[in-house]
Amino acid sequence: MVREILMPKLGLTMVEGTITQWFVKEGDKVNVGDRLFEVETDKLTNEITADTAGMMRKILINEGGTAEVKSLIGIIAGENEDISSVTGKEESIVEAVKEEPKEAITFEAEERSDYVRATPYAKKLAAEKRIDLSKVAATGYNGVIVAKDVDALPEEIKVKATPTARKIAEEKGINLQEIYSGSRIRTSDVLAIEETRAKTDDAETEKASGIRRITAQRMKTSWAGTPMVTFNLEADMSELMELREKLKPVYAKEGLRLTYNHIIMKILSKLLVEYRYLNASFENDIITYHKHVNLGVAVDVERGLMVPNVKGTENMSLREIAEETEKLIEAAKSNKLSPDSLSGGTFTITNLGMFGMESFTPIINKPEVAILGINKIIDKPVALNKQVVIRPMMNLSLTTDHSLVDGALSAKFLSEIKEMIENPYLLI
Amino acid sequence: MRQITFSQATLEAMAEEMRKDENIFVMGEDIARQGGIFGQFKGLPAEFGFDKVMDTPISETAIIGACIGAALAGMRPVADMHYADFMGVAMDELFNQMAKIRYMFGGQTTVPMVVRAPDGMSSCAAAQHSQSIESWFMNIPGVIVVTPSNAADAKGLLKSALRDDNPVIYFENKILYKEKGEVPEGEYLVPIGKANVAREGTDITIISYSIAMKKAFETADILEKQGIHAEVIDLRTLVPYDKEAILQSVKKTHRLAIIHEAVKQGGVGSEIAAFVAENALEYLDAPIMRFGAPFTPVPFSPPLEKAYRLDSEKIAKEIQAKF
Repeated sequence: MVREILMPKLGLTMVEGTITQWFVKEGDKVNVGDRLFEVETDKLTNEITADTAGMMRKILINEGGTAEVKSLIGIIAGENEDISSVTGKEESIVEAVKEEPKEAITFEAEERSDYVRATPYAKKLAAEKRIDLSKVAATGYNGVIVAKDVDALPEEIKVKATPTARKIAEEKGINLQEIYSGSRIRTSDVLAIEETRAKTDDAETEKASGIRRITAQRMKTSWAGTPMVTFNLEADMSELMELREKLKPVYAKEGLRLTYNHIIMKILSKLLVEYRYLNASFENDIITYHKHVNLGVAVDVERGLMVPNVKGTENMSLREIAEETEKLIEAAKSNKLSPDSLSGGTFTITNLGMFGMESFTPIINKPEVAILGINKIIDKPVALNKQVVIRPMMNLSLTTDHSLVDGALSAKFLSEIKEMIENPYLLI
Repeated sequence: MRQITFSQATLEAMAEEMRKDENIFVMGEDIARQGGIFGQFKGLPAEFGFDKVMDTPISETAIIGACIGAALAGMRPVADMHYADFMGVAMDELFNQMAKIRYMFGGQTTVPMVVRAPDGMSSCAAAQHSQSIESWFMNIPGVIVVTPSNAADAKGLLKSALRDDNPVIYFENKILYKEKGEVPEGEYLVPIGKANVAREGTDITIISYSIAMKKAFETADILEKQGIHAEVIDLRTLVPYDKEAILQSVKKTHRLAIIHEAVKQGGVGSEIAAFVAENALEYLDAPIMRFGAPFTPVPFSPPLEKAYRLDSEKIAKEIQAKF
């Protein structure tokens, strides 16, 4: 039986996917359940397994290639089976790929290629100085590395070494520049270095997983492209703790565990409706005010960081929020999150209280404009009515995107969160 | 040193060489009785007579054809084309005969003649009287092409052209005729095939020739104010062009811009850019930049003509953007 392998649709918003890895090659025998390939979207990576046994007859999209959802990317069939009925389609696929807009191709080149954009002269200088151009900061036109960028780096030292020492150093990958101290390097020096290195340099390297690469990419983009300010404010948790204590047994009867996160999410759901600048996105000079509050929760799972979001919390009761949030966290931990639960978030909370953190600077989950960091509740001496009393205090760390949200607004928003934490009856 | 105009400098070169060599004569439209439309032949018939300074009918084919015949018979003729734009009329004579005869006959004879071709934009002369067509002849083996940018070079290059045994096309810019400059008296020769480093610099090589040298200097002045020291090279001769001078300068400055009034597409700049890319790519620290006319006929409309011209402010800006 000829089985066409199509690019899967892994979420409502997915239009295309990139194949990051093939686990089989053309000619390999495939059994049901065998891993075929890894596909990456802008949100996550997934492994796709075979649902048919046979031979991997054709791979149409290679690693690094991108294909539209439902388009043909490979064929599984019997060893000698005629696949011309399907490969006929292959040509039309090739045609379709050719017609892809130029922009997409440029993006591919920019994002994935490890080609170093440097002028020919800069390359020549770098080669002479044995400088790795990929580590040179570009200041030239269009972000190109020019000669002065290479010139700015320290002059190469003329290393004196015996021919044998040079040869061994090259074989062992030892940079003589780094060990040269002025006197002629001998074979024994190189061997000594090699010995020391063998004892110290036992670091392992591995190619980062898909989720790590996506996280890295998103964090870098957010960090580099956003003027972020973090505001810190302590809230007295006494009332909130009492509220939780009273509700906990009620929820427990239904098998629900009520956490501070849930209550703070409820508070945010109420406030974000009023603070529309904080429940917004800001891209290309366009401000988008979101109609719904979709609260993302940062979840630390074995594979890395996931941020699923609970959609439409502005209309949810505390019970519903608790229920939905726990479902998502469970799904994240068992790697069963749907791609749609990972997209469309409008505001994120991240809680490091369980690790004892008292303050941190969360990074915004773009295209959102704010993120609230929640810290540990600590009993602290506080001056109240001129008396020092011990109160359970919790620090809130709110990071906002100053390009849209000004400091005054951020401060006002945070102080209102504090107010509601200290007087949760306002929720009613 | 005394200052004379470009036009006077060419006249001086003609007179000096004609006195020396009785085989030299000149023919063209309106050059003898009128003295040339730019006055570049004024007074020449008085000294040498109408036999050596001849007015012809309006036929470029006849002028070039007659000069080639005379050259083959041992004379050293000079043909005036009135406007470079009219050379197309005599194109077969120019590129198939004048340029090729020496080679077709195994070097048994040479064609020692000079074709004088006033070129470039003046003011509202429109598409058929404003062109710079030097790049056509860069693609024709067998002719020498010179393009003086100032009065001294006008004299020196014309004298060298008159003494050369190969056919030489001498492009003289119409606006430059009135430009004054210091010109050495008497024997003054500018060698064919040698460029002139008109201004030394360290940060970018600007190559130009003829009228566009003015823009090259203006651009260098603007860049200088921004701390960019431009080296300006006057090619002087386009065929054969001075490859060594170009490479030497580019290897020093690591950047190259070429400026000419002629159309940018397929122009002299394209040849220079390709030559440098082929031979000194590893010395380049920025893309090679070419500045020339847009790919459209020279407009008659004054505002459009103004927009069509090279603008040194714009050129400097574009160069600076690549630093």
